Amino acid sequence: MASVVRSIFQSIKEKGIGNFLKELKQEGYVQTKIHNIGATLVGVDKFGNKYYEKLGDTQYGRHRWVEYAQKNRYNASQVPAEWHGWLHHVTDHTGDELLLLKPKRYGLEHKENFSGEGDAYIYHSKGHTLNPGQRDWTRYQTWQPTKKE
Amino acid sequence: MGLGLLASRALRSSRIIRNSTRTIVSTPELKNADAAAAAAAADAPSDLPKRNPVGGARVHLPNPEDVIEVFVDGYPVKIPKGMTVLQACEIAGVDIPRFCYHSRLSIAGNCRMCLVEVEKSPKPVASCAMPALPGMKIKTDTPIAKKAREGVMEFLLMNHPLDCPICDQGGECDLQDQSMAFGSDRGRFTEMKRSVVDKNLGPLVKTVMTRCIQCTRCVRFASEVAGVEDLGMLGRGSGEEIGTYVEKLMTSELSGNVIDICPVGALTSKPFAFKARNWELKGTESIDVTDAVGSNIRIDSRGPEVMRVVPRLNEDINEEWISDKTRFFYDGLKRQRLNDPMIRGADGRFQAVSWRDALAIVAEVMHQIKPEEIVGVAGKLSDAESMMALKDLLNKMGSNNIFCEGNGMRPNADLRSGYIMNTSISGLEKADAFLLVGTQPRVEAAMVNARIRKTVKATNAKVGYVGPATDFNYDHEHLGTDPQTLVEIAKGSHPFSSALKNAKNPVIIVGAGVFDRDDKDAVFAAVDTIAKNNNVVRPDWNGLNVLLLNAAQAAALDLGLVPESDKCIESAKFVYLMGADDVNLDKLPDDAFVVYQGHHGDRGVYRANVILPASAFTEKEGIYENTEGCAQITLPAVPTVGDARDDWKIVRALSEVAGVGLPYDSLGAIRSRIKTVAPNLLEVDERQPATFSTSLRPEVSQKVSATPFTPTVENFYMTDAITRASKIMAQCSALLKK
Amino acid sequence: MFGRLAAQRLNEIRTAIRRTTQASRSFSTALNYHIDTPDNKPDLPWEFNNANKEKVKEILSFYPSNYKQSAVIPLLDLAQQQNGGWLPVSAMNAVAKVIEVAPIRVYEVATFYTMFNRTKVGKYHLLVCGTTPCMIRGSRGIEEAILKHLGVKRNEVTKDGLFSVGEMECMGCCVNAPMMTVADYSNGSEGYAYNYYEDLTPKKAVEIVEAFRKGEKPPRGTQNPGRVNCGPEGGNTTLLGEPKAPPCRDLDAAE
Repeated sequence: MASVVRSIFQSIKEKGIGNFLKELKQEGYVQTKIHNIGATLVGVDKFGNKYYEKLGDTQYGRHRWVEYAQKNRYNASQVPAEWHGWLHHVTDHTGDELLLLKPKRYGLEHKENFSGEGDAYIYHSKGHTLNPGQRDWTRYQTWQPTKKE
Repeated sequence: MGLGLLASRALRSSRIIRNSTRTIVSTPELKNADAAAAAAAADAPSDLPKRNPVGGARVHLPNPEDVIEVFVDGYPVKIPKGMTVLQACEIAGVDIPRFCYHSRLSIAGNCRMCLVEVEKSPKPVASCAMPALPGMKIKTDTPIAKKAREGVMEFLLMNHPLDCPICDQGGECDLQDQSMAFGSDRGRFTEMKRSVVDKNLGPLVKTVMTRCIQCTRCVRFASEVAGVEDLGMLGRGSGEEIGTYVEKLMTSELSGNVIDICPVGALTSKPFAFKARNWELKGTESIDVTDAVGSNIRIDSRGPEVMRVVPRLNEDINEEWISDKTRFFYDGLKRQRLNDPMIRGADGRFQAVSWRDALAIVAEVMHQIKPEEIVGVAGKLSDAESMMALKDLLNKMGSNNIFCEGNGMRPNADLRSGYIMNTSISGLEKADAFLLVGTQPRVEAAMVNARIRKTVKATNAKVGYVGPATDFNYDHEHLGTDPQTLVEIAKGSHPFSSALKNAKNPVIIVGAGVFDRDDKDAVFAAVDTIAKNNNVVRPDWNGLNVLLLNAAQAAALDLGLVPESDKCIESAKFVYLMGADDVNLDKLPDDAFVVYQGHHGDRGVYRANVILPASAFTEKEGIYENTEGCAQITLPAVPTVGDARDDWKIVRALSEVAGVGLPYDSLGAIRSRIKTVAPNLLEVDERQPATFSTSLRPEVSQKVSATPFTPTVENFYMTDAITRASKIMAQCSALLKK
Repeated sequence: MFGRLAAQRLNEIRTAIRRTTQASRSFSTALNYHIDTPDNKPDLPWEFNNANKEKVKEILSFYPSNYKQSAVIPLLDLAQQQNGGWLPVSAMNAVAKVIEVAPIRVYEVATFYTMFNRTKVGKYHLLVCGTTPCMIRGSRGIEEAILKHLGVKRNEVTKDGLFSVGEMECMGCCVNAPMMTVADYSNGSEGYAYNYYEDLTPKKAVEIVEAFRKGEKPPRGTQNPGRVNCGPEGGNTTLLGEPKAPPCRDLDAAE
């Protein structure tokens, strides 16, 4: 708590009280998490998740975090692949940079894990009845009756 | 029932088709396999283990003076003079590796894979090109021979890409197999491999020329068998490549065979490319029905799909080639199929119904119609069993108006010699003069044409042709376009008659298109006169032939499918089309009830009131008789589609519903019925010659007309319901139609 | 940044592959297959001219009438001389018609022999010997000098259409190495000449080329004034006397 108060004062000292209040207003007073104060917003992904970093007086290893776009139901699978590496200290490249390497032809859109919410992903093989892209095992085409010429 | 058939029934004791193995030999004296093998084994030294000839090869020694003896690995072998070392080794039971040597092509000797050691010879000799000499001591398993082959293999693999995993030939590749035996596990070649530009040979043959090992089999096949000099060996040294030099498609009706003879994956099948691996396929030995030749084929299927068709060896019929139509029509089996019985409603639309309803309606309508107004038409792909069943059903209903399309309305079924190929296909090779009457064998029966070409090339036989202008792939003389020319030849006033007169074994081939002519009897009378004047029919030689067009024709005539009245279609009220698509229904009254039983939604269904789905020839067992009078059996390779049933089963079920039950319930029973009508149809894989010659034909007073002969086959690639449904055939006719 | 990295890597791979594609060297002047160009396509008319028609008849008379195809090489040579040193497809087709074989049989021959040019060459086609003895005596320098003088690459025709330079393998003149041959197509098949120029130096070679450019016909054979044909410089030093007759047993005595 003390560190939060300290960082608030530091921000006020750096930016002046006016700018500090303006920033708070931009983010919305209610939504602003206290510990985001003083951290840099590194990027926002396409779902609206915000990625913060705060170097300096934060404990190393806890200096990057995400603020989920959905406040009521959130889970780690909402972080798309390109941001995962940055968030977990695998790489220093941010998600926006890594997005450039995403293959255009076959790169899939990120989908969060809906397990336990009635929309769990279950793998069905190609011929399975529940597979939406179920393969047609008919190996011939039938003659289509047309009207009498 | 034909007179000839009655006689042949009396003369022959028939053999019931129960033997599962089929022996294919052209010379009857070789039939006794065990005796020949015993004779060969008798003179082998007792201390050496017994060896059998490769592939069951049997040597036929016609002339005892010309026999020489050679020793292969110590085994003495007796062979006729003029055989090569490689052939001698084969008889001795040693399989010599080879790439360029092919028994049906000329010898090139350029792959060097067949090197063997011969005693007193300073170097290994190429056995395919070396004639065997008396007393020659051939060694095939010595270190020298082995090392020579290993060296050759290393050179061949030097420029051969390592793309077996993506190569369609993988698994049936000569180079792959032989590199297992003679190849090294690593190469010493560190330079770049060469690459060659792929050639476009048309819609059937895919080329990957980098894989080519320059055996020139395809070049020799194209110029020697197919008769299209398009392919050649261009360049020299390591830049050598097979090609056409100028941009040119391979416009031969036999071009698909280069796929089979290519020992590597340079020439592969374009429609089959990347579809299946050959070890996934189930082979079914069957018969081709797209023309009247009855080529022996193997249908390769995977699950419910026919994946490809390849030829089977039969020296008497198709040797080891098949036409492009036979090889590539198979995708037609998967398109436009009829899989449910259908009834045309009052609004003119078809509705799928159950078999019970469909048969009930047909039976009901059939009973309401006067017997003489019922007509049955067998299609060109019908097998003998279903034609027998249909004829019996119609006869039970009181009608005798049944015929097979292509035979015309007044077929002459009395004399069997009047509608089959009396010389037999292999017999054509003995001929030295041909007279082709109204037939274009190149499009009507490509395999017969290949035989004629082979004969013409070997003996310089003269070919005279009467008919519309068409292209031949051998030298011929176009004598005229109408039957008047025949009369001239018969009189002896035509220049070609002297050529026929001087010939030792003249052959006359009449096309089946003549059956549809009004002056058909007169044309045949003129042909008979020519035959009589030129000694064409003798006790030892019968050169008078009819070349049929469709697979069902010969069996239909044997079974007596002859309509009672030749105006039956005009007066018909009920027409039963059993796969008949090409029969002319323009004159059919509008109120006639048409039942179409068949496997494809082709021309026939558009006039039909009821559609009964049947199975195609790849899905059923049936007897087909080819143009030379040889009965053969198709076997089911794949399951039939949807609700379709075998033709004869549908007819049998209909008879039950109609209350005139036919007295057979199984194929065996229906065949015993056929035995009483045409016993020759049960002599499977055995050509049954006709007993009486056409000289018994009654005199005709008809005069030949001046109408020229017309081409019978407009498009080689699309002749029946299956080929018309095929996409590949449509592509071919767009690109290659002559 | 990553896009740039990826592009860089791709480029590296490309250059690595490109470096090794030029592995084989082709002596022939064209590909083994034909590509239609405005001056070389099958439907262009081509015929032997009247004077050459006589020659064709004469050539064919050397062979039995049922082996006409044996005349394929002399006829192709004649067609090449008439057509200014190269064989278009239509010329090969014309030859095929004369000897009554399928055109592909003629293409096979024409692609096999490197002296049949299937692309345009200069009126004077210079062929420098590149085989070992000539190479040791400096044939590479000669070729370089000529190429530099004419400002072309090997198998390329100069802008004025007069010269083209190629390499030929041993022409049997090793005793006078280095040598080159000049195929002269400037006057059709009548003025056709195929002359050897031997004992060359780079300077001499360029002089010969210049003489041809002026329309002169420089004397063929050795360019070393001290030598006569293949004789040694300055006259014979050995074998001066009359050669002895070969030893032979006395046939009269044998009886």
